[in-house]
Amino acid sequence: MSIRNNPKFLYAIIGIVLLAAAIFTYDGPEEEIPVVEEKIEIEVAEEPVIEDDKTKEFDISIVDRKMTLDPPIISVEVGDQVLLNIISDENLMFHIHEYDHEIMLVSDELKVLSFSAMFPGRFEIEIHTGEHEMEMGGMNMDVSNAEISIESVMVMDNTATVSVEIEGVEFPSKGIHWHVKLDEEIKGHDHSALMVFDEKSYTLKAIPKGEHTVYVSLVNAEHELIGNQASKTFTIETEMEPGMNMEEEHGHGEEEEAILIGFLEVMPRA
Amino acid sequence: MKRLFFIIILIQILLIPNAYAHGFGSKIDLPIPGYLYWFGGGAAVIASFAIISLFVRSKAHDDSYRTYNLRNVGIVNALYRNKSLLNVFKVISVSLLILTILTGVLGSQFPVKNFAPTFVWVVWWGGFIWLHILFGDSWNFVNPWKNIFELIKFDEKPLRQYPDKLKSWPAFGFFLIFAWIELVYPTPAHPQFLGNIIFVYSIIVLAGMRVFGKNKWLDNCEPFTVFFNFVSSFSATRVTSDGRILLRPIASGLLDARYRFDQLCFLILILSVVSFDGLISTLFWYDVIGIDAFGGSGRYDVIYVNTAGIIVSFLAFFSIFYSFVAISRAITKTDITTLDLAQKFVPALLPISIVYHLAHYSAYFFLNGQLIIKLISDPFGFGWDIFGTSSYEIVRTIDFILLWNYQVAVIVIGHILSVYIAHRISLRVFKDGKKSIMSQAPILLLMVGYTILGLWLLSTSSI
Repeated sequence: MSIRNNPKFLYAIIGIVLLAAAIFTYDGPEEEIPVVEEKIEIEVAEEPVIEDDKTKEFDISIVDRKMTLDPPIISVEVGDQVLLNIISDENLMFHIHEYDHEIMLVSDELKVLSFSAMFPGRFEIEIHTGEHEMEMGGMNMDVSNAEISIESVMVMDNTATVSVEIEGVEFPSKGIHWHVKLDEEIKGHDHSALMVFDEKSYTLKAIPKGEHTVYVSLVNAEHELIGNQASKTFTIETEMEPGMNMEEEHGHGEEEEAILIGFLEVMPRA
Repeated sequence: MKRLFFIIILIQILLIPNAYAHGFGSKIDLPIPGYLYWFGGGAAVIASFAIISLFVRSKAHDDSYRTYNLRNVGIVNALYRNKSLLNVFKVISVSLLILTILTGVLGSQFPVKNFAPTFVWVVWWGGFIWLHILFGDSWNFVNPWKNIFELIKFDEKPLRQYPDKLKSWPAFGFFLIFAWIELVYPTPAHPQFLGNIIFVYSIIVLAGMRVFGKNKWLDNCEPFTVFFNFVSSFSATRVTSDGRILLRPIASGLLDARYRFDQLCFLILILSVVSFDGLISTLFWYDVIGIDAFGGSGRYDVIYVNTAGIIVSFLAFFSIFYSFVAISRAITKTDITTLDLAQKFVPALLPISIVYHLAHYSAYFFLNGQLIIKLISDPFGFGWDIFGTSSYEIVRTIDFILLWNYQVAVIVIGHILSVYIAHRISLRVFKDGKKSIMSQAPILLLMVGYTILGLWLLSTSSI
């Protein structure tokens, strides 16, 4: 049975060669990356002026709550130093999920966010806008004497209104606000805590029956803890009605709106 | 309502940044790098066709495949004979159904803190299919509604004759509704919604089985029985009516399958739904429908267009498949009608659908699936810690290169299987090697098209 007489073998050889070619191509996922990057490059206004080739610099404008990249995806590789020059047409918080980097943007003022892309994945970039006016510059304030204390916790049915006293720092001002959290201590950059701006009291709703502890803490515009953390324990006597729900009632959502504006793609290195 | 949706989505994103799509949260899986994979996938399909042309021919008129009776293995036989094990599974399945309804209705309404959404969307819908691929028709054993029906010892004698002309169209309709909830309904992971809808559906199934007879209802109207039945023919094992447990080459069960027109439509619906699932989150789709993918109100913006999209994608997949079969018929000048030919070839589409489902859900299953470890200890989100696992930390680091290779590998394997099955079917239908190869040209082109589509969906930018 020779190859000449039997075209089936020719089919087989072609097949095996193609299959082998296919298998070899599986090893090169990173080769795709430059294609993605090209798309980004088109939108980047300025070339990076950085010597280190592992630094990726992007100029980002946020106009009408949209990121002016098309598609709005910042693509880098693990190990890259990422430098974002961001300018926005309004005051808002720029936030990258999971990496938990955030920066307050002031209208028409260039802000720089720099970080190392340590782990791979695709992470949402959101802007947070508030009904309140976020004030900037809190980072330079002297907050060494800042202190928060719980003046009272007023319980009514399944709600508790927490009133605080703030001393040693001007409030409300310069992005300073306080975080409040039920039954768990507050950490720095604590996204599960509730943010309270401008007011000195906050009502927690739909709390289940039982003993609870409320924690409060002052934070700066970057959500870093400043000063002490205060807590107070109280008891809810009323059974919760079916359908009432803590999570629906609590959250940043009462205070502000988050808008997905793009993604940070951190590609793995082979 | 819109504000409530925002608040819920926002909270879950803030608290669990990696809790995901298909219902909830954001996803962190990276799209696979594109063109090399397309080339690889396409080349693999062509190569497989060439190899198949060579090797299958010798068994031209043969539908048989090797099997091994697993009952010959002592432990399998012992497990099979021990009915109490099966009963344990049945009790677990009924308990899980009740738990899902109760947690959905009474528990925390925060999706990632509630057992129902993760169990339904990730574990059951995303992962249960694996059991079918490995162990055959598991749903038949654990179907909680069937088990409740048997447990209550409802009278099995039907009150009414099932209108046989309806065939399995009710299951088609229910599956379409299920797909709409998964892909289009704005808050499919809302626990109370899930609890309520599962409760209502349970009543429908139990009533249906009582009125029309258990098996009539399950085989014709219960979409998951129909769906998992199809998947089982892809499975590596089969339990025969005489009690043998046959181990067989994966997907070979499709050679035994003979489908009616309604079943053909159901199979194409499965393929179109899993593909549409991938399509609707791509930036390309948002471009096509002219809606901004960013900054809007999420699923609320696309309800109408995606509702139409599900229907249109089914019609498109149906038309494309039908057209390619028509071309195949024209080339071979056969007397068999196009519809008849389509019914004969449609089993070959199943591997494509299944592997896309597996690839598409992989990251979602492995990452979000971990939530269930927490949730079994605190299913209602009340702060319990029944098994001591409620503080389990979700492992979020993924080896993306491994994930990409896995996704591409399953897709390519699926397509090779599809091509293999199509070719075996063509040998049976045409009984002539040359004619069967000619008939396969359009079918092969279609398969390559599906491969490219599947890989493109996994590689393109999406939200």
